Order: sequence, then C-alpha cells, then structure tokens
Amino acid sequence: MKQYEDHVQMEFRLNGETVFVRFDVDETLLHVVRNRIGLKGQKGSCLNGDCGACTMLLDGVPVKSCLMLALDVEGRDVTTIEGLKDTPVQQAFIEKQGFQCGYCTAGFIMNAQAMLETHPEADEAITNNWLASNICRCTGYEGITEAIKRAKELIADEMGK
Amino acid sequence: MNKLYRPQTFEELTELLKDYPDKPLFYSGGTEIMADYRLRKIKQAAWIDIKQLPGMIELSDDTIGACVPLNELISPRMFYDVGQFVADRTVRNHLTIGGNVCGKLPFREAVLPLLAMEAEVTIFSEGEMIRQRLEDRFDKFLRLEPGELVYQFHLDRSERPYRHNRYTTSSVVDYPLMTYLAVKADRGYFVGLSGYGSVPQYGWFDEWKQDDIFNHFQAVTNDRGSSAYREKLLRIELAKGAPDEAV
Repeated sequence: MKQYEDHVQMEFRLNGETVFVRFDVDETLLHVVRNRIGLKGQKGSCLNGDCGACTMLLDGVPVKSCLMLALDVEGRDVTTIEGLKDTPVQQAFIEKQGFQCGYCTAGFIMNAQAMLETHPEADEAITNNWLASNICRCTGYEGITEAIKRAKELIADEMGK
Repeated sequence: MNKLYRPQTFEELTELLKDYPDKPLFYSGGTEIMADYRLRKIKQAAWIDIKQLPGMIELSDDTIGACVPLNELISPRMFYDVGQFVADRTVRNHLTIGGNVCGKLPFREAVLPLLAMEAEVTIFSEGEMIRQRLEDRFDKFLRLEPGELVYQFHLDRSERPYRHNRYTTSSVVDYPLMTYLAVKADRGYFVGLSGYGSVPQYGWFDEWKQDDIFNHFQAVTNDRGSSAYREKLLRIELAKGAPDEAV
C-alpha cells in the first residue's frame, strides 16, 4: 500500500518537463505549483473552487487546482499558462482584450484552451457550459466572449492550412 | 492532515481500517473535502485515498464506480441533465458521483436519477461487499456506518420518459432553489426534488395526481427562497404534466 506522511517527494510532468518536488502531504496542487515550483501564472482567489482562477490542465482536462491534493498528479501531465506558447487562444485574448485586471485571465485561457481542443467549433451553449466555471470579477465578459470567437477563427484558419 | 494512504486492494483497506475504526476520511475527487479542510472543518489526521481501489472508476452499461466523475455520466439522458448542473463543468471533472451522493451539502442532486432508476448500491462493509437497493440505504442521506465505503452503483441505464428542471436564485452555477426530476417507470411515477427541503426528497406514485404529489413534499424557507416560492415552483412543474405525456 502506498503511504505518504508529513513531507513527500514526488515526480510529475509540468508543462512538458519532468519536475521533482518536495512538499507537505496536505498541500494543494495550486500551492505546490506556485510556491514550491514558482510558476505564478495560475492564481489563487476564492480557494473554494468557485472562481476558476486556479484552473490547470491535468492530462489535458481542466481542474480546479485549489481543490486537489498535489499528490493526485503523481506521474501525470500538468499544464499551466506558462506551458502555452503563442496559442490561438492567447493570441485572441490579446487581440480582443479579453481581460481587464488580468487576475482571472490565466484560468479562462486554460479552460478555453481545453474546450477548443475538445470542441474546435464550440457553439454558444458549449462555450457557456465550459466557461461558466470561471468568474471575471471585473465583469469583462464581452471581451472574453469576443476572444473566444476570435480563437475559433484562428483555429479554423490553422486547420485550413 | 499529515498522512495519506492509498490502498490498492480491499484487503489492504480492511487492514488499514483496523487502525482507524471510528470515522476514517475517504478521499477521492476532493472537491468538498478540500474546501472543508481549508476551513478547518476536517479533523482527521489520516486520509484514505480510495481512487486506486479496483472497481472504483468502473463505468459500464450497468455499473458506475463511486469515483467516476460526474462529467463522465452522460447516459441515460436524465443523468446528464441532472448532473450538468452540479457545481460547474471544471469541478465536475473531479467531483465524483460517490462524493456527491455521500457529501455533507444538503443537495446531493445525483442521487435523484439513481433513485428514479431504482439503482442498487454495493457498500464495502467490514471486509465484505453488501449489495442492496439504494432506496433501502437512502433516507435523507446515504446511511453509512463508520468505515463503510460506497463502492459501486448498479442500474439499468435504458432511457425512460422524464421531465427535469432546475431553479436557482440567479446564475446557472449555483445551488438549487429546486431541482425537479419526474420519471415514468414500470413501478409508477417517480418525483424527486433537491433544494426544495433541507434534504433531497422523493416519492413514487401510482397515478399522476398533482395534489397528491404536491402534498408529499415539504418545502423549506431559507436565505435562497421562501417555502411559498418553492411551492409555487413545484406547482408549475407538476402542471406541465406527467413525464410520459407528450410535450
């Protein structure tokens, strides 16, 4: 039986690179990525699973990293905003100013990235269903909505090439 | 918490529970536990991660492992309709059906389709697997003794006529003022409600008599809405007709 006590050491892949990290057994994935590894892109806000600012991809699936033990990602693939490199979603958020203060942006982008990988032509219902998991406290939803539309166009262009 | 165990077999779990006989904390998706832990509502120093036990994530035509995330439950259609409103989509990627049914929150919406489909539940108890009707174990909440663990749900997943609606105070992502599920089955009409009272309520009815069904349920007044408002919502849903009537 696997057993973990007090301080643990664990290996997982973060943004394509294998990392080996030590942390306390009760630390969340968000805490370990931000405070042990030092990638500050994903934010902690409500720490209650409500706001989505902490959204990371676990094996390509969005999760609320504030509600997950870091131990849950042992041997698995985690992606944060630092792992995205000039994707259509990022480009679209810049073009359409899909942010105001920017605090929620990384969470929105990670969720949108997963959504458009799963549904490149996501309609309004799918988009609402997925992105209702994230909250923009500046209420900048119009820019975010425009950014998603633009991201779909960019992806369609890429696929057409 | 300073210890986490990951038993790989039920034999290991049986041995482990001998050391923690009172109220072991079973961890899976973590969505409710981690929120409570942050608020220091959880006292257990040792947690038992149940995800790697065999069968816990099984998903087949007639079996749903307790650790299956809600987003993976898309058939029958009523499962999807009820499940897609629990928490939000990202949370549902790791919010499990067992966690929802056994959770401390009063809504436990995922239990409604299970009850409507007359599901059975297998519970790991003192080294044995006990399979019985979910209805026999569910009275306001799933009745579990310390150390008992929900293992799997079993059901016939064929489609049945149903009606479903969900009311919240404002946004879609919110706890329900009332979740309504009405299903026509061989046994009769099932009506289940979440958010209407302080616990999920349901009943089976031979005939679709609105007053009889309405009087079966007790509405609650809380900071989300009054009992009168909830009663009005239930009247509206019942007036839409039986689930097997043409829409």
